[in-house]
Amino acid sequence: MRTERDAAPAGPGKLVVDAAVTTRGVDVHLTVAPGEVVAVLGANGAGKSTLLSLVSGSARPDHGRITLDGRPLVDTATGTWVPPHERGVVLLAQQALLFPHMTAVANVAFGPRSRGASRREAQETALSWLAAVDATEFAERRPHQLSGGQAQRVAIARALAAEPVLLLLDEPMAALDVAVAPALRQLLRSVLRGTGRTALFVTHDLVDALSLADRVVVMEDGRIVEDGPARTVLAQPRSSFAARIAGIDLIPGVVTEDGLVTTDGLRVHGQVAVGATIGEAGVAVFRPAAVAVHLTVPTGSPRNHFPVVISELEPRGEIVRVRSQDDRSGGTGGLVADITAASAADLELVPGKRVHFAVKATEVAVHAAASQP
Amino acid sequence: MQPVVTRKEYVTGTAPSTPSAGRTRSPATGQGSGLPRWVFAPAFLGGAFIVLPLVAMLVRVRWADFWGLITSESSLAALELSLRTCAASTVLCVLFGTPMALVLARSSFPGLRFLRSLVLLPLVLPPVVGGIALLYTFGRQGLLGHTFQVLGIRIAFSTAAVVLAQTFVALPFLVLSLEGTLRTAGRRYEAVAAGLGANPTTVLRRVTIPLVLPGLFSAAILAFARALGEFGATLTFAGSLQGVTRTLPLEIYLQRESDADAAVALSLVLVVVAVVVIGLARGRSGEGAL
Repeated sequence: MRTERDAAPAGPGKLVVDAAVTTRGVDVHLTVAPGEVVAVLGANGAGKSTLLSLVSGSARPDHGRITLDGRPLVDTATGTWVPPHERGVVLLAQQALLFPHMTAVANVAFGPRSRGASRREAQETALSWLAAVDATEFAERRPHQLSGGQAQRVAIARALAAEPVLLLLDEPMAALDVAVAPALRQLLRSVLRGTGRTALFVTHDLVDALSLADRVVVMEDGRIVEDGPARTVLAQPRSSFAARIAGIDLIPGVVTEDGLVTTDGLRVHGQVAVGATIGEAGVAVFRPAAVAVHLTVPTGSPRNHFPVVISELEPRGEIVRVRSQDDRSGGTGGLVADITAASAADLELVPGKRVHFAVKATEVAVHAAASQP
Repeated sequence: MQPVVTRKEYVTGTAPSTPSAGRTRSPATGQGSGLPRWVFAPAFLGGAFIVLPLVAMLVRVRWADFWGLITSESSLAALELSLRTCAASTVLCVLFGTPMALVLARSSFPGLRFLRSLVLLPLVLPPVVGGIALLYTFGRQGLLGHTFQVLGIRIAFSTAAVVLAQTFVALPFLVLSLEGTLRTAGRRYEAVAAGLGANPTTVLRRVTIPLVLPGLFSAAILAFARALGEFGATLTFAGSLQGVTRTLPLEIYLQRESDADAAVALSLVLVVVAVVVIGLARGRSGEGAL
């Protein structure tokens, strides 16, 4: 069943949102292409959850229109309103919210049953989805006998068994143990990336956005202020929110055994995170504060060093942010180093100067990326 | 707010064993409760006020004649009638009260709050007044009485009237209790179910009702208990005909005039039934469900 879906090209699921909720100061214009996975980032109260509520049908816009595959879900101009159960939109929330009076398999069978499948068909569908999320052993358990991660697995199976045209995710991993999050992220990745399913997900987590999304939109004060490929938005943030959560160094490439190799053939050494597969798209991530600046090729423990040309120096109190020239190659251009003002003075750094950025391999994390560089 | 208080008062009134049971279960109440010591004195007095009359009644029971008194023809007829009518009115309460609670807890329309206070009126209305009101609705001269007469149905002073009177006073108890349960349960699971494609009827049948089932059970028990004790409305609207409308409370009131021993014996039966009912409700849905 899943292999059929895997093979299918981008199917249905084109979402167009043009809706406003004036009382909450939300005014969103967003188009999601069929099969596209879009991450919604933003501070608390920026309107991310309102956006999901509008699409799922738990909130009504004051004015505007939302269509899914051309079918209006809500249109205030014509008074159209499609109730939540007829939308084909499933929301996966922070809490698994499994029905406590049903076993895991009955929970997963709920969607198919509600759509008219016979008891037996629904049971079979449910079991195959439980197998797909590696939760077959929990089939007969009640939700209170499951851990948070196990429950969320079952919730994912339940959401997918309902065959949504559009999947909404509201920080599905935020309530989970740090220890179980990577495995679940991997599962979500295979679910979202492998099946050509359209999805809109709200997250606070940079790694989620990088590894799951084709595109990132950033919301501020109820409006979308940034919209673009995940790496562009996160590496060159224009909005203050993106800058605050991002403000990191990113190098895209292909995952290797001990790091990543860029399209230019540059090797980056780092810690390969769970979920990143050798030979597939990845991104090396490190903090600007972990970067040291050298005038000559550094020797010693740092295994990574990149020759760069300084483009600007931004004093930030005690710290100076050294920005390198962006060659737009998608490689090491545009990297940033945070060093003390004293070091910057000692090294006599000026724009145009050629230097080396060095970073220890232990400071570099290599994550799976949503698309090939 | 107000009806909740009423409900608590009611529970204390029908669950005389509660304070003493609570004390035996946690003997260390005085230690570390964070309460000032003097609070225990009035609390103890209040508890004694509830328990003492029951003890007094128990002392007054003439055990030698007890069995004979409660198995007399009139007693058995009253007991049987009480159980039958209470079962019927509880069913009616569940059938109509559940939708009422759903509407009150889940919908919103203008005038809902006003409607809510109207529905809960029987809680604060003296039952005799309820009986009069029912009489002028279903009686021969009543609002609907003529309609029923044409259909050949006579309600007032029949067993049906007993059931109606009991339903009238017990319905708000079920509605109020269940509405609270529904509000506490919240709508999150219902929203999830709708998202998975379940239509409103499926959501109600497979999610809402199963989730509040324990609450519905204790609400029904509450309604049953209230119906069992119903006196004023029954006497006014249904009268006191042996085997037809004379329920246990009416029988007790009647016997008190002629045979006090029988009245005490029958009262004890009602106390036992009440204790069993409360025990059932508690056993099913845990401490403090009522």
